Amino acid sequence: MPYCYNCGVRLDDDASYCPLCGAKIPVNKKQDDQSIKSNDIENKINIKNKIDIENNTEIDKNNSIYPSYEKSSEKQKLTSIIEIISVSFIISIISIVLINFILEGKITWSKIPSVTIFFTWLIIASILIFYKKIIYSFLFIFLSIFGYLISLDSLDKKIGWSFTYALPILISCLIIFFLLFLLTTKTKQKGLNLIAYYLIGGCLICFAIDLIINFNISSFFLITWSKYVSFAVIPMSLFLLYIHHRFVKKLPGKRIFRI
Amino acid sequence: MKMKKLISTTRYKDSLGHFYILDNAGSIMPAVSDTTYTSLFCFTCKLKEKVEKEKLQIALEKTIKRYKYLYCKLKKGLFWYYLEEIDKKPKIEDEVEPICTNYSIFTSPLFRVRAKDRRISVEFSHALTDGTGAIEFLKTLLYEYFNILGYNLPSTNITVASSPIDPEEYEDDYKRYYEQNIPKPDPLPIAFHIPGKILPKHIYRVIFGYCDVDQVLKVAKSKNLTLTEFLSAIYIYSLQKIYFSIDERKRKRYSPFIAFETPINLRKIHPSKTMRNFSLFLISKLDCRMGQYTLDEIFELTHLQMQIELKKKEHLKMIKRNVASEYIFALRLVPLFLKVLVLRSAFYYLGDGLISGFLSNIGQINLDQKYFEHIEHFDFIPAPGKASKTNCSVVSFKNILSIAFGSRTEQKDLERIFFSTLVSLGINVHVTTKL
Repeated sequence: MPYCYNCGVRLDDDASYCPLCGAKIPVNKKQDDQSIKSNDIENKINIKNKIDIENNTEIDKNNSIYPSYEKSSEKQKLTSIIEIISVSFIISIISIVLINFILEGKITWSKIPSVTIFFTWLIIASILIFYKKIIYSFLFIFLSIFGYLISLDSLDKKIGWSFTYALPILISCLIIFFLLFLLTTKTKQKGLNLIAYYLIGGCLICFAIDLIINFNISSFFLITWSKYVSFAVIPMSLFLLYIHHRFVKKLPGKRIFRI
Repeated sequence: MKMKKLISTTRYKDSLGHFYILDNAGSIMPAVSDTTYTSLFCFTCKLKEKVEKEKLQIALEKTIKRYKYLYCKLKKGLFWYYLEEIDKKPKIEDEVEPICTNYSIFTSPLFRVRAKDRRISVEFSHALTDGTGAIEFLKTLLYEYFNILGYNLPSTNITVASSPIDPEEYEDDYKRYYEQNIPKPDPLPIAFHIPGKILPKHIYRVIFGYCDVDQVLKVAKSKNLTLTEFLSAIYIYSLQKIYFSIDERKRKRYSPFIAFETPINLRKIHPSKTMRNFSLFLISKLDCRMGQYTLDEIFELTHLQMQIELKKKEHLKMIKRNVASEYIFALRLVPLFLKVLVLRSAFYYLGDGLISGFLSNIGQINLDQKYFEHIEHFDFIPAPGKASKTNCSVVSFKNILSIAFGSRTEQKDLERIFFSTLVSLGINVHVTTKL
């Protein structure tokens, strides 16, 4: 059993260095020759099987020239999908702008579809990139939608409705969607209660839109049409919640509420 | 002193059936655990023959029926974590590495059993039990496994799977031996923590050192020390060496107080059958502002400090502080998500941050001699430590003393100094990183 001359400890028979200080342990020549021979045989086997581990391709019976989807890592799959979507969107934007330019000599109507495609790409990319971190996903979608609305607003060289209408409505929707998301993930017994929560969420969005529009028109916070929405939604939600809690399996007690 | 014998079970019932609460020491673990600092510690056993997984699976299912209160999943209540028994059959993983990391106690059972080649490995979370509980489980598993293989080994010192469950096995004995009138322990400063670059997530480096128990005991006894005191003193000496090897200008960034923790099994002091956590620790201190102590001086200081802490029953003060905090009504009302933040701070400022490292010696695994033909040795690997970065666990079986260092730092100076010091004292050490 070899020793480390530095630390004085015994090492494994096949140790090539000391795990404590990193000192190299001299290996005898006989072991070296044997290891070279075994390496040669391994190389020949690898060439014979034609396995290219780095490129993740395998020349198998089907002779597939594309990387194997099943064997790709999740990160590789995601990167490929984002790349394909980005390239196809870029091609669409370039085609539309070129068509506009060729037909009319200047860029006119193609601004709207180009901006739409660009922000759609931004929303899809943020969902794919941040699908594990939902909060970032929400924020990016919000920023993308707002960016899109500002771009549309600025097409007439004046910025107006995007800040007075779109921004407050977007913020309200963001808050309500986030709360609904939290409720959905945290609720232990998912059933009709979720539908009730979504209906109430929709009703709250209507209230927000109603208030914002009325404030912009008459500088007062007024609820007009959205109260009629609530007359339909609230009784329906309460009924769904009653059905859910009346007929759902027993709720846990002490284990959840123990102080 | 009269002891208030409060039998405190951890098993409760509600409309959905039975559930368990975490014991006093375990209740803090979920708050400070993640997929790297998993709170998992590991016992592994190297057999003389290759493990037969199908038979081990049968043995595991039998063992789990006996230790139902250990095969649990962690759940969140509004105010506290709790445990629910798992109905599904346990699965034996095919790999034994990586050890004690890359695991979530929030989405998986609080222990895992793995087997590969000749190795059987059980990793338990400290939220569930301590080393004593884990080793009892492993002994039962091995007994059942060898029985299925047809070896008919004796069940001396082993709880067999067919024996009835004693309700005292899932008691929180910290609450049982809690005394209201005892003062809290004296405050300690933040301790010296070895410098070093932290390894990437999910990497936990383990270095094993094997010696002869007789040889180590001989040297320890020549210094009038127990095995634990001897190894702890060498660890403290290694920490001191690292402290003084830091450049003088950079040394000011580090605390000069070395506080070394030696876990003690409270079952040896207070009668207890619990399989939950029931251990605390003794602390040996060294103030580096006093200069460098020689190894012999550290031997004597460690021995005296450990004896004094034990005789002074310092552990009762720790029980008082830990259990009393659970009884503060205002704190009990704090929702779990806020409590977790408080517990994380408390864990650092009242626990993890106050120690430079620990050496946990579970002792000799007492199995009948007939087991020696089938088992080579055991290993005990500590849970990854955030503040201390490197820690050590020791176990002995037959005449083999296994010392395992688990580390979250790139530097191996502590392990190197520790093992070379053992060698300098005339002890043969075989060091390896292979399981």
